[in-house]
Amino acid sequence: MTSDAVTVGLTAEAHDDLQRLKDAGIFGDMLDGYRFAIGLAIRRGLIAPEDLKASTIFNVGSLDRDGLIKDMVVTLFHEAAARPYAFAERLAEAGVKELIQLYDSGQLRFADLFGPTIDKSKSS
Amino acid sequence: MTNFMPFYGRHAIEFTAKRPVTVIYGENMWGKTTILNAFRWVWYGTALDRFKNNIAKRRLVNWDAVDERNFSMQVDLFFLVDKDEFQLSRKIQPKYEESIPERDTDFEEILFLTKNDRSIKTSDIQPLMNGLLPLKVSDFFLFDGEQLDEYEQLLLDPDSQSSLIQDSIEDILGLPALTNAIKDLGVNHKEAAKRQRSLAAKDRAAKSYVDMAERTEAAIDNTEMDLQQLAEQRNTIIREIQSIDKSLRETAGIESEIQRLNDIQSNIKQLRDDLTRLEDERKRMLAGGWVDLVTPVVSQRLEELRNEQSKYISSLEHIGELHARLKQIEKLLFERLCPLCGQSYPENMMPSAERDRGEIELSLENVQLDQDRLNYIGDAIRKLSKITTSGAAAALQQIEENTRRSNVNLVGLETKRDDIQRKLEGHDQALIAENRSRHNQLMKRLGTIEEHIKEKQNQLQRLKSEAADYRNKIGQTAGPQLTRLNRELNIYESLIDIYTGAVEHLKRQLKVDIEVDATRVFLKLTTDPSYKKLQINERYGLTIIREGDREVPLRSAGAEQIVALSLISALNMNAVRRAPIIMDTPFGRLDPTHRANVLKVLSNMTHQVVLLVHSGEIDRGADIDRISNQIDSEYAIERLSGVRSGIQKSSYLAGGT
Repeated sequence: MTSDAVTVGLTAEAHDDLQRLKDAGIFGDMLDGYRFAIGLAIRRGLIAPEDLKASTIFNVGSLDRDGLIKDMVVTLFHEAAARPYAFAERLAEAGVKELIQLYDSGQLRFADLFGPTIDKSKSS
Repeated sequence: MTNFMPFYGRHAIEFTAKRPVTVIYGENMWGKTTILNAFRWVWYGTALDRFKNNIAKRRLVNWDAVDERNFSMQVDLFFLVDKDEFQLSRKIQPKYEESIPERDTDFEEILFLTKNDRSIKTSDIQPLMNGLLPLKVSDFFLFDGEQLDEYEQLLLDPDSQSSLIQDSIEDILGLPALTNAIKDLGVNHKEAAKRQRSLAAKDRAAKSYVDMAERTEAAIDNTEMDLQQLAEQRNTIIREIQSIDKSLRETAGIESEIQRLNDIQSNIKQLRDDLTRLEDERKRMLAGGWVDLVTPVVSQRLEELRNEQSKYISSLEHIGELHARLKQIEKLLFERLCPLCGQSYPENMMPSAERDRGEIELSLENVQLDQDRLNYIGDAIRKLSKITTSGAAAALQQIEENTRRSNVNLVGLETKRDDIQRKLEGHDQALIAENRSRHNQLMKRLGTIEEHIKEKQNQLQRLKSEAADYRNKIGQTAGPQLTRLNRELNIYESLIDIYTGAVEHLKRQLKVDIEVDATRVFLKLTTDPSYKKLQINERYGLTIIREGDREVPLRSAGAEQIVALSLISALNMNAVRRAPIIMDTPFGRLDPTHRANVLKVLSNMTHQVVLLVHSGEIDRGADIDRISNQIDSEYAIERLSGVRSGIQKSSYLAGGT
């Protein structure tokens, strides 16, 4: 059994995207954006591929001080049980991509994000 | 006029005054106002542009003459005052020969006046001209119909700036005859008092009063000097305020735009601050917002888990029931007693009980209970229950709505700001602000000086009363030798009182007379039957009173002109000497009926009127025919080139053009 990640990150591209969102004043810091991206991916049923070439940006201790994210991921996704933070990383990657796409198309409205759930994994 | 503005070379206009009205025709931009300016310039040495700013001397010289390197210009005026003949001449020429003058200081101004062919000392000329027609009321005699807002200011301005105009009006109405007499009596009184003190000083008993009287008189002299200085300061400030007022009036529209711009910029700043606050709030909400994002998914999962848990619990209960029943049947089979009544259980029913036991055992074998799964469900429910909404969704919705609204407002305000900034381009905003600030500063100083003047006047009154007291005491103690002087002093004091009372009486009477005469003219001019009279105020401003003794609060440009003409007429009727009135574009804002009314009363306004009119404001056929018996002569300004005009005697009435 492979041990879970102790750090999480994003691909270089997603990292730049998150940095852009932060610089645009959307998020107060990168960690907030990262957590939000995880939440958005869960809500919209998004997930990045397993073979993610992510670079480290956060220690999981900083990301998930109370273990809430880990518990949630483990509980919601059976396949995440073994390596929940590695799974959360894939969620964050997908969430950031979604956010930047909305932002670049001028459609990033938070009220919409909290509206009725759109599960993209089931829409195709 | 020689080389005066568009008039190249020498041009003469003759006002014979055999009949009261001279008409000078000229289209816009051809030089009508120049003729008004020629009168103003020769009389006061100033010519004004349409913003009431002084025109530089270089611009007063005809351009064609300048092209020929002739920088000299001259206006001559021949006039009669009573039976005295005057010839006034004002000329400018380069200060240095062969030089090209640019600034006012590069010109030399030569002023020349003769009275009955005798030259007047140069230094006496301007005071004499100002005495005949004070500059401050010149606008009433050099009437510019296109500057009506100036008349509004002159006539209605209630603040102390108009006090100089009031003084000047009273000057031409003859008040100085009385006020000068008071001054002369004051000098005589002072001298008599001095003689009284000098005589009384020889008397030991009166000596102490003389000393005190002299100290008081010295204090009076000082206070009077202070008052004079304060009055000079006050007049200097008023003049500066008037000059700034002129600039501020010209830039009033710009100033209000600047104020609007400041308000808008302040609102923009407020909106930007609001947007920053909203952005901070949004970031704060987004930091915990991920929880709200997953809440629906978590809720759904929790529901599934709880359903599953509930099924497990139902199974557990069912197993418990089966075990209890099995235990009961086994007891029955072993004891062969009925579990309900304790009687022997019938043997024939035993096989049935054994069948039931078999079925229960089979059911128990079929029921599966995954304890690990149940434990997992419990653990998962506990963990997911910790994820509770932070309220971010509703808050973010509100924040986004507020942000959207603020951004819409911001764009609107920024568009308005840009529009105003475009309008303000080319205007010296700093200078306007400086003028406003200086104006406020001067008004404050004026208020302070006027308070000081009041204090000093009160002080002077007290000192004069003290001095009178000492004079009485001196008179009483010094005995009969001072009787004649005491009597002389008393006579002076009584005369001063009488004249002072007369001044007040005359002022009141003049206002009554002006009001009556102005009303008489006004009622002939106005076409509104509901207007009943004009009411004069302390500053000689006039208000229209309509039926029911009610004031007309706002006046149209036409009504404004009618009121101004009424005041001019009334001033002329009551002035010590009547003066000609020169009116530029007098009918520009009047309808035909008002115009006809004005023409009808022209000859009553004063003995000599010069009308400078353009074709759009007067009908040479109908209008001029109507007053043909009043017309002395007609002139027409001709446009000879873009910068040159000429003036010709015109003879429309004689059938010419």
